[in-house]
Amino acid sequence: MGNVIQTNGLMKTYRGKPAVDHLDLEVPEGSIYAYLGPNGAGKTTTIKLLMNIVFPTSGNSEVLGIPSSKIGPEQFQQIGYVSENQKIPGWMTVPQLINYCKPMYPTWDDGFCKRLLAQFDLPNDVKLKSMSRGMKVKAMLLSSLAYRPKLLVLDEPFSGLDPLVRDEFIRGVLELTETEGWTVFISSHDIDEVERLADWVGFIDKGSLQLSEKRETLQNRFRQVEVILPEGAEVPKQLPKEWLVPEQAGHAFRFVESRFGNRSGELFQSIFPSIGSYDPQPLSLREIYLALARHYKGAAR
Amino acid sequence: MNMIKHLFRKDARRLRLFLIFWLSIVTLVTILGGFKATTDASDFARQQVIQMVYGLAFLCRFIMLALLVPFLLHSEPLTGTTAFWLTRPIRRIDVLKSKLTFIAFFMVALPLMTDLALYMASGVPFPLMLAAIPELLFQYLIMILPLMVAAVLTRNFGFYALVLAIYMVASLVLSVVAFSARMMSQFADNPDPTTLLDSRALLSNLATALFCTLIIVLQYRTRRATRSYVLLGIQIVVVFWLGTYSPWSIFPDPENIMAPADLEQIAAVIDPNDNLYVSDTFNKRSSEQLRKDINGTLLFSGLPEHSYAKPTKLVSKFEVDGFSTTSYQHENSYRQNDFGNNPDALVSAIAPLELIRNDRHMISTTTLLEIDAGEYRKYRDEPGHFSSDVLFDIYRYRPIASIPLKSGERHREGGSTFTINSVQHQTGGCIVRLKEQHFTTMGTKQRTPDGGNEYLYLLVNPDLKKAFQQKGDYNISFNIGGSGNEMLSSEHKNLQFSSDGANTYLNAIDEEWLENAELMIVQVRWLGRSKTAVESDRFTFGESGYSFSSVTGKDEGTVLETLAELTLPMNPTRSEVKEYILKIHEASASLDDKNPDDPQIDMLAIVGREHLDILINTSHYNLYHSRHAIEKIVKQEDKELILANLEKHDFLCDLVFEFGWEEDARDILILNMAGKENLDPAWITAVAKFEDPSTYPALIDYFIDGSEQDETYNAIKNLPNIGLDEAVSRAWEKARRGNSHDYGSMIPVALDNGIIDALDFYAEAIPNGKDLCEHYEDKVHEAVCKHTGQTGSDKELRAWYLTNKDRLRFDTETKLFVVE
Repeated sequence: MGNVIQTNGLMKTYRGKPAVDHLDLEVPEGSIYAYLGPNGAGKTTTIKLLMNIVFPTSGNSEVLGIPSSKIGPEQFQQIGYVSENQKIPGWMTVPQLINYCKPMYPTWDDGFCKRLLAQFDLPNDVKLKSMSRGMKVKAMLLSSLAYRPKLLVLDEPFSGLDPLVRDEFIRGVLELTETEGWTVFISSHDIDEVERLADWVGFIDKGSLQLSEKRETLQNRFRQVEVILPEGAEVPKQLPKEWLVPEQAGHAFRFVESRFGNRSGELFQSIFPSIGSYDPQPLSLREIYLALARHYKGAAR
Repeated sequence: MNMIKHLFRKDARRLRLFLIFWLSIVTLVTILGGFKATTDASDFARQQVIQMVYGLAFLCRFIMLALLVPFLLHSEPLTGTTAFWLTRPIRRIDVLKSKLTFIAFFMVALPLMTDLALYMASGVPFPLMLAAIPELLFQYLIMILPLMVAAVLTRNFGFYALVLAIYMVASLVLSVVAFSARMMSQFADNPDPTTLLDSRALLSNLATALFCTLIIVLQYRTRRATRSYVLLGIQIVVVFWLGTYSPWSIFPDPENIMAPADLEQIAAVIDPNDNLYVSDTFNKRSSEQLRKDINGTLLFSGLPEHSYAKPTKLVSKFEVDGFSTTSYQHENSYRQNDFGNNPDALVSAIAPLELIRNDRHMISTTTLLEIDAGEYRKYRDEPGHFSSDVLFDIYRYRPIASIPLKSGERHREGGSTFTINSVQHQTGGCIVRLKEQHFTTMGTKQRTPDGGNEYLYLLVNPDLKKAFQQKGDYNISFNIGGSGNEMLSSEHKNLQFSSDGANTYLNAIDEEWLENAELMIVQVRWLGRSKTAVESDRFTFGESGYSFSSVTGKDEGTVLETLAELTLPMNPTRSEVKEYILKIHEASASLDDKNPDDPQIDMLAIVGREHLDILINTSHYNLYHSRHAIEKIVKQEDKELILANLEKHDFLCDLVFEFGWEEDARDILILNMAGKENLDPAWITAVAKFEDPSTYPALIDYFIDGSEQDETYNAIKNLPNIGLDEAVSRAWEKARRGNSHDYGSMIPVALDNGIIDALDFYAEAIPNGKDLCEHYEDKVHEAVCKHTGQTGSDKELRAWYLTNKDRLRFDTETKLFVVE
């Protein structure tokens, strides 16, 4: 199984400031890849570079085996792209949008389109510009899913969607990836939702990719450790580098173990020999994301 | 699927309302263009309205175009990162093709078709129209391409408007610089020829088209806006340079211009027979030193046949007693009127026709020197040395056609059409309304320094071999169709021809003269430009003011001498008779006193009854003698002729009375009275004699509004049941506010009707500033005496009135104002 998306040293600068900095990214085929990062980290720029919407300063990238700079109509017939910032032809109604898009895609599935139309509950006689933000996203999703793309690129897709639609959308995507073998590349702030979807996670900060791995292994190696320090016990100044965002509040001391394994307990005992209980707790993706975000923010200071 | 068609349909659907409006505007501009081309020049108000609406519609058309282009291109913008189409399977080249198809169809082809329809309706020859299509297309592209560039470099209308505004401001600033450079060039000794100026304009347009196309294509291929902005900047600079300084001339020089060797043969001298005269130079600012213009006539020699020279620039120097001054003069050129300087050129060009020069005020002179007023006074009587380098243009007259003087007659010469719209006969002349239309393309344009051929018009009578020059005109000109550099220009001219000032009745234009008249079109063609030196060793400034020659009056002795030389040939032809009559009239023209014993009456009468019509038709030149001569020779048998001319010559009414033809003339007399104000009194008397109540309203109206109201009153006052009280009151109210003739003639009438205000007017207003016409002094005096029963001088009568005015009452029986 190859990579649907691959970048090598991809870089984009704006007025000398890197928005994407030597990005080496691999998105395996059939995966649902959650591309996470704080605001301004470079997520949207990465996607625009991949979609050939903006041009790289250096490096290269491939999408569906084609260099991004050469992506053309044939590739776009297999790519579904939805972005919260995307301009829509507001003068059209949903049926007009369907009629406009349909002839561009040989794989357009009318039945599937109807199903999505019913599922999204979109009106037929209202112009897109008069719709709510959520409705607009639904319409864009509809026009990007109905031709069963091989790669679905979603840039903050959940903005404006109500919880019910979000849930339906997530279930739909999961279903499709399973049955159709789609690859989904999704950037989002809504980590709770992504957690249900993603099987791969990438974390970008200040244009640099900090990690990129399977969600399962990621969650396996991150643990939250919280202990009560006995009277007189002190936290050493030098802690292991895999202990992220250490915090002390009174006698309570907590940190995130980022290399959790068989020897993690021994390491802990060597630093806090007076503490007998060591109870590492698993973390949600959201907690890992927050820990990493705070870690990089602190590192930057 | 055909993506181009798919996108085209999508855009057409999206912009359908704009397209409907756009097509309406295009159609409206075409229709208004048609109206403009056909509206009579004399209907000035209508022309102005159409001109204004056309201008607004044309502006709307451009605004619509400037809106449509971005609306079209911004539906698939090439800049920005959020456009819907960027992540859809649409080739950029397909987008470009679909946009170009849309623009070609709606914004080029449709307006082009309407323009061609207008040209066709205006009678432009088909081959010329076909040849003009590429140029028309180019004009549309030049207008649309910059709009497209602004649209492909932006993603929304706000940015588009900003870029377009910056682009236009930059272009405007550079245009001002270019215009200044061009003006500097035009005032230089060797101004840039029109061929070079037009080449620069064409090259800059071609560069605009090329750069715009390049930017548009590059944007659609790469979407790299920065590179396109750089190209746009380069475009502005290149276009400016090509349009202002480019040395390449791609148009051929004008044909038939004179060879340099021939131009060198032409020399000029100051006319020794024409005194110099001085005039003040107009100063806009009072602080400026007063200056004097020394004017004179330059005589040119060595000119080719039928041609004349017109000075355009003089660099003059005057030296006397160690004083020296230099001046630079630019002469305005207005070719048609300049032949006053050299009528021989036109005379020889139209030979064997005789040119009747009746436009003396057209004689033009050249400002030879401008000098400070103080220096003028100091050196005014001292002859000095004058030298001048004179730059001049040579023009040649060439009659190209003569067309019958009738509505609808036309002449075509290449892309030019001359059509007579109407001919209006006037006393001693006529007004010809002519439409001069020129279809000019880049290929056919004449590139002489002053903009190509011009035309002057002569009214000619080939039988009499005489030609009158045009006295004046007012023209309305405009361009029709096209997108800026319009090809079809149409000018409505009101050509006025008049024999007034021709100094001889022999050349009078009358109905007979106009019967076989034609309109001659004379081309005024530029032949070349050259320079010559003019020198004078005894140059003096001349006197202030300038008097044009004028017709001098003749005393009676001179008139008699002239008349003594006139004889009517034996068995004369009609034209000999007419010439004989006109010579008598001409000789008598300056006589102040005319009386029934004048020999002119017998001299005119001897033309006989067989030439009575000529006598009648020339009577307006000398009504007094003609009238008496006609009365002398008319017989009963001439009734038909007299009645036929009665409407036009109301003095014949006397003859109607004399011969008792009132009943035969009844209809003419009654029908032609309405609306008239200055009929012969005999006419009114004749109508009153019918005692026909149906004529009363017309008679009363004439009494109120016409002249000689006292005579009219006397003619109608005794008509049965006419009831004049109200009419007299109205007439008096009108007359008291009028001139001395008006109230002079009405005071007796008002007194006869007991209007005491008339007496008051006589006593109060007349001595206090209201003049009384000499003709009415006695009549008014008699009327006051008659209606007051008093005698004495006006002073005594007025004193009597002022003493008794509060106690006066009018006795309707005795028609006397009596003191109660």
